[in-house]
Amino acid sequence: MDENKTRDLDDVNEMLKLAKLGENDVLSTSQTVYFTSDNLNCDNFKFLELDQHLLEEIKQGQTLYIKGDDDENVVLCTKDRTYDVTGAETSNSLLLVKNMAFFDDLKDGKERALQTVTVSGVFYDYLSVTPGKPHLKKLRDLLDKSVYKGPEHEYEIKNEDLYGYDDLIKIIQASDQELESVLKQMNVVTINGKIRLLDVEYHFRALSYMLKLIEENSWNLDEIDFDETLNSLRDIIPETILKNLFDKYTTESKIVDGLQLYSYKEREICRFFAQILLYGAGKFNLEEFLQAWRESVPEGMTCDEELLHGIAIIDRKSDPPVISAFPEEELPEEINARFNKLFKAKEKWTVPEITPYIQRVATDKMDVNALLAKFARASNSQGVKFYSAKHAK
Amino acid sequence: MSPGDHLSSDLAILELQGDLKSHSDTGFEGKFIGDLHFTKSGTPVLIIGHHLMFGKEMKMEKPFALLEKQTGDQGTEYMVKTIITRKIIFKTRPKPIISN
Repeated sequence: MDENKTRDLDDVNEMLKLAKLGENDVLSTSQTVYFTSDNLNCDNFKFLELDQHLLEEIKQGQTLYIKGDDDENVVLCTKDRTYDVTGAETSNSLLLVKNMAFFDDLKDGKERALQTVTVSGVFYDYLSVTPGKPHLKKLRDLLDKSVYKGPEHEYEIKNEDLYGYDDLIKIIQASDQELESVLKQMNVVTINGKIRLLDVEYHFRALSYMLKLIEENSWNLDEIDFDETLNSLRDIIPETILKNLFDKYTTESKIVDGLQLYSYKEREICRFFAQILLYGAGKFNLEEFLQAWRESVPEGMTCDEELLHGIAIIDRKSDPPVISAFPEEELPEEINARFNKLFKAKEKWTVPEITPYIQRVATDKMDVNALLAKFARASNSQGVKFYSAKHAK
Repeated sequence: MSPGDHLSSDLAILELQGDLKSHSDTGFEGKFIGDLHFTKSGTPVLIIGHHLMFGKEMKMEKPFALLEKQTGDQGTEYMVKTIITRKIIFKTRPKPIISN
């Protein structure tokens, strides 16, 4: 057969006959499939497999972000989700075709006819996505280089180590919403548009000055005055730090004579001071710790032990009972390794105790309860549910 | 009109078991591949060379986006050219056509 001659109906019918099929066995319209005469090189094209969420995003015209350095696995981010991307190979050939008619398009045809289908590319792989978690280790690594320790230390900071939000969202493998939420949880402040981790001791010093004003001015806990706080402290703490901390630690409480007043977020304050006390100390006598903790926070605030979940573990079996720092941020991202570490640190956990430590590795499909069911063993003691290692002795 | 409307298109996937081989050393460009028919009951039939295959129309459970790579000043971007939701798959072993 002459390859350059365009096929006509006779050629097609002839082939059908050879295949022992009659014209009456098939729909009246047949299609001939050709490669495009354009360049078939499809290096610049990729198939991306979509789930319902990605499909909706694309249909709405949303931008998806593909992120990953050479040393990272690639992720795909929508505005609120992160997917892990892997290349999937197929043993089949996937032909990208143009103008191919399906059964429904042709079933009502009467006249014998021929249509042309063009193959514009042949693919043997596609990008497959699975819903994942933001990858945040790099965020900490980057921010660790520019920790804010006070104005007198600023000359030590290199300009190229400073990142604004727009820089971070490009580099960090997380969606917009995920990055915002994790930054909110971290002790960061924004200085001249750059996002900075706040040095723990500086943070402690600044916050202590702010809280001291409560006693000095005999304020009620829900009558914190923003302007007064700024005016009293701006000579010792930069205004931008004060504003950042005020934002982080207060909520609006009431308006008195047209003046908006605030109250400090009790849980956040108590948690922060617990961290400060535990910071650097290995183990603490529990009673001594609890007393020091209560004394460290403004009068009237209650230090609830439940606030320690996710930052410390208490061992009541030892004599005397002790508490030790056990920050969630320092646990491995990998789930198995994380559970190993948890059960090594403490044999039995209640659900409220363990939840803050596994929340971050949970997904929509695999929530905290599902994770516990899969990676831990449940037991009951006096009506309280405990979780321990799956293969504990 | 929603912003994604331009994405519905005349592109689809024809999935074949194995690989296509050319008899000549020249490229595939412009070459004829085969004939595609439908039986009256809707089964796609593909004849390539002396091979006959029966296939199946499928709505893809997970559609494909066709991405085109574009390198610009802002780094690499991929444009979603189209979304592909349907395919015809031929996964049975081809039957040889014996000419008398």
